Amino acid sequence: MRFDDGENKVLVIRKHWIVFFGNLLLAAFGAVLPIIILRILPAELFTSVLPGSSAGPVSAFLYFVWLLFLWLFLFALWTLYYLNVWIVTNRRIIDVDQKGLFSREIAAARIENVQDVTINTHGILQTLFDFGTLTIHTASGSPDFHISNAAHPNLVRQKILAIHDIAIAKREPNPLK
Amino acid sequence: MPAADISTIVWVVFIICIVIVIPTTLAFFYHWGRFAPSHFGAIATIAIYTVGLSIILLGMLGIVLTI
Repeated sequence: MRFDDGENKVLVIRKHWIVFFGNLLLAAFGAVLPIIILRILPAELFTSVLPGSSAGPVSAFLYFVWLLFLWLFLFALWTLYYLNVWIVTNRRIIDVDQKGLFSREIAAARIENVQDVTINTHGILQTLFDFGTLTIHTASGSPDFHISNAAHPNLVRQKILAIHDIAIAKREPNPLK
Repeated sequence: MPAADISTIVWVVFIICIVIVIPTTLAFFYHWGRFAPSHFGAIATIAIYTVGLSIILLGMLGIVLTI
């Protein structure tokens, strides 16, 4: 990401880690699922299809194939999680929306154009872990910026409004002073 | 099923896996190299991904060679 001269990164906002942790738990469950299934199913089922000596290695091979695809899937999810980000600088808010491995949308709004920042926190999990939906309304006529499951939304809201106030104060010096 | 047939099938599956892994890995590296907002995040992710992938592929290769 390239910034203009005099532009500094102030804040990087992502979805809360618990969002990815849910995927991680799912992948971990997926990794142990074949072992559980092998324990439940009768051993004769495999030896009837495969010769006795190769049943073990073939099962292990298939398990590695399953792990390989889980690994690729997990990193695809991590890529979407990590690259889906809001970057707040002292001049702009940049919304990088990573929709897929080859689908990416970037929108930016000048910090002075921020009109309001709304946060929505629903449910026990969001309240306990301090995450929620963050929406920035801008005056530029462009669509609102929206990030769901953002970490520490109240803190982010305060910081964005503080940066906005500084930017406005720099742009329009008080004529009474 | 004869052991020779099983060996052939396993080799074919292994090669298909490699064919899927190569472009996916290149896509990952491209994204992390170009779009990652921090170098540390990109390097750590690529390192963990590569180590995990190597372990899985070497494990697969080890089994393929023994069948």
